[in-house]
Amino acid sequence: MTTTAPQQKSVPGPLLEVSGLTVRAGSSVLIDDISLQIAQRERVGIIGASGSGKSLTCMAIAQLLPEGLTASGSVRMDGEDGNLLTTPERRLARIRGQRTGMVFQEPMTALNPTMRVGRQVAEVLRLHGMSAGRARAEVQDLLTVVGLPDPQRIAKSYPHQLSGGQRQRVVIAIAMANSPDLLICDEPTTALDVTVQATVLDLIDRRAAAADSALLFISHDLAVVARICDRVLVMYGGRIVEQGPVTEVLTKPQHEHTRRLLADADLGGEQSESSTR
Amino acid sequence: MSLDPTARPVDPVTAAPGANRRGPNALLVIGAVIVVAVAVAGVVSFFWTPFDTGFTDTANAKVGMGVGGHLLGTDRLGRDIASLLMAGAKTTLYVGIVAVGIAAVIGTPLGILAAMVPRRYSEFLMRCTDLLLAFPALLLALMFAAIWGGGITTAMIAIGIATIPSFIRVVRSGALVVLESEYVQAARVAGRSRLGIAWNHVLPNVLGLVIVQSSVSYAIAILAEAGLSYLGFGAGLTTPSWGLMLQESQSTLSSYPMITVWPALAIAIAVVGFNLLGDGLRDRFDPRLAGR
Amino acid sequence: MLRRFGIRALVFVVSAFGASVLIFFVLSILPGDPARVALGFGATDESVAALRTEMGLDRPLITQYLSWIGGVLHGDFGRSFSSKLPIGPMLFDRFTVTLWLVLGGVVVALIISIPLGVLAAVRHRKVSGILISGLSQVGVAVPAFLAGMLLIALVAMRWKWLPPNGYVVPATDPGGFVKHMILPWLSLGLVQGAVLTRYVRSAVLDEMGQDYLRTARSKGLRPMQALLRHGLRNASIPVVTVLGVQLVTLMIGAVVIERVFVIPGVGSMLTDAVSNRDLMTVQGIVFVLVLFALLVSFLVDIAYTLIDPRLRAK
Repeated sequence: MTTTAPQQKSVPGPLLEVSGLTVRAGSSVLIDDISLQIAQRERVGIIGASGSGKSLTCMAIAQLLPEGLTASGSVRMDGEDGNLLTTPERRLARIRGQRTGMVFQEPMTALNPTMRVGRQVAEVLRLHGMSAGRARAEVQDLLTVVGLPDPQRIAKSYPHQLSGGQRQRVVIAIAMANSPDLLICDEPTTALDVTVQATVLDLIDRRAAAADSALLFISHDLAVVARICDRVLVMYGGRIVEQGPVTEVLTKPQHEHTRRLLADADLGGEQSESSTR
Repeated sequence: MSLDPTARPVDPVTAAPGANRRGPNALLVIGAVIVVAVAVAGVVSFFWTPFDTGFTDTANAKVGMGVGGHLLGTDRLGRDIASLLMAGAKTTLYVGIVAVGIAAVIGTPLGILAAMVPRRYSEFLMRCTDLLLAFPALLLALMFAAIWGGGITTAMIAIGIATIPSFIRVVRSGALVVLESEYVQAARVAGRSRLGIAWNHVLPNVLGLVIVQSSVSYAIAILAEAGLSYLGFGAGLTTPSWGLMLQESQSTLSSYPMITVWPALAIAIAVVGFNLLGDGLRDRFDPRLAGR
Repeated sequence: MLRRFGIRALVFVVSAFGASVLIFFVLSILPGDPARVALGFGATDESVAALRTEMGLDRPLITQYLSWIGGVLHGDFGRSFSSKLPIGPMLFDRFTVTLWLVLGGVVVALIISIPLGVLAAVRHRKVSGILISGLSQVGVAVPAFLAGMLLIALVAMRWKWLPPNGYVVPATDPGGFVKHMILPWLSLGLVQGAVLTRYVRSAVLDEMGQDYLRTARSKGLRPMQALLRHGLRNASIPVVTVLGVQLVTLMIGAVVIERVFVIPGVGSMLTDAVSNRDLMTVQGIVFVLVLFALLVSFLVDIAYTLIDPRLRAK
């Protein structure tokens, strides 16, 4: 169980510091006493089987837990006073979209079906203080940068007129619009066709690098995490069971569960191409 | 947590208090109790009411609760309100049963038919249903009253016919689900006749929906009857009816409000009762069928 | 999109035609002799026969129908069996009055149900939310005419704030018109508002768990902002359907409310005609009301298409 990020220039302190994070549904504990740190520009992956609590962890950090779930512990962000878990919604709203961006698993439902794509992208710019005129121009740039063809037409489209991959690009454009310090990705490629998974992953990689964003990347796919992340946390049953630099964890797994994940991934490696859709 | 409209919701009113098969749903029980109470009051009134409903206690007209042995007081003519309410419950039962009965008996087979026949026939049937939907109960009742004169029978038939479309729609959507199921597919492969499938598989499975719809339609029928009686095209002067009681109480409303309050309460409670019963039963029956 | 509108318009026209046939034949085949009804039972056979000829009742039904529907298409609804006056002009006057009544009722219902429905959904686990749901459940159970009676007794009789009944033409005295209409509007609107509140609540509850609201919040919208900016439009899709049904219910509810408040609308014209067994007038009014119902469901369909871009493609 070794750690500390072995990379990068001198950093003033961690960007995000989570300690003792616990999530409960009524009396049952779903996430049990998780602590983690993310340095500026660091890329941290969380892997684990479904139900291991990796998605909940990221929702808890973003303060977007489903109703009925409560989080305790502390989440601190560099430059923000106090524990984010107890920060009023009004202040959290200023952080979200500005200092943090989020990409979700399901691009088909993540966008408002009755609002034009352009407006949905512009909204995140307008919310954090950009004028309407500038936002409109900026939307074109953002859509171009995420690799969408004919951004003018895309901006005027509704989500149902775009493909899954295109929608996920729009979501990434929204998440990265204000060049956030932290980008949280919750299984961003899982719901996509195999053919577009790689390009979307590539896009996240490039955009995060261009904006100097740190990354918290949730996935069950070890290969993806290995490509994107510096450091990885392995979750099982609501706890972190192992963590360390990606190469180390994947080559010399300590925990039995990590080994099983690796074994499953190797088994599934050849099949995944043909079996996924 | 504070107000969070984006969090995944659990609906406490229609689903929560124990609805998920954890013992009886409180609202369902309340609804059932009210419905049974109305039914008992109505049935008992056949044999006994505290006073004869035609008896006018002129010495004790418009008195309050308890005066002259009148449990809930008397109306403008001195008739016993409790007795009138009981007899009114009888009329309510009668109208509801006949109206809902007409709708269920005609609507259920048509709904099953609409689910089983080829698309172009069902399309036509559903268009006819939509057309009938444009004739609400009150309008149909007034149209019939123009032909046969107003009255409780006309009202019942009109309300019944106007309620048919809702049965057709509900039963059809339920039947479509049943027809997709594996055991029906199996029965088809086994060569059972269409009629046999409809009778043995579809009908028993949509019966729950029919009961739910009956309860909800019953509430609507009560309101429609009250409206018609108020207009003078429902219960005649000799038929005790809650709607008629309201209409007659209008002239004394500002000076003797209780004469209005009692039948008003009776209507409101009965309607709430049937609605709660319907909602509660809907939660009970197969959620697959409860969809729409 | 245009194709969709075209099909809908066609359905509307065919339904309207079907309705006219249905109304005409139900009213023509079922009853006894309208001429005898109109003249009373003491009338001689000759005078009844004369009236039948005069009213055109001796012609074949098909001819009668064609001449009726032909007239209706030009706004001519024939002559009343009882008063012998043309029905059309009076029908249009009365219909305008009822339309005012219904529109006001809808506005009241919307003003009540949208905020309360949203609140009941957002606070569905809190006392306030459950209280709103409970109240709407009770509101649904109150007949509109009862609400009217109670409002008259309280607001008009006891407090003497507003006139208890009557009608003033808006063009001559707008203030008086509003004063006379407030209580009828409230009677219709309160009850329909209760019904609508339940639908708004469940529609909003359905939207509340949607992913796109989480995305909206991840952009920096507060929960309520996210719901109002993004959720409301999506929630309005099912509500519009109900609103269509409600409009028709309101139109019919207006028949009773007009009796309560002595308003000279199409409803009181209908009840009068029914009492007089004036079948020609009944036929005209029923057709207009059904036409209204069909028109509303046509408009609801168009409204869907405008609200939901997913339908436009088809």
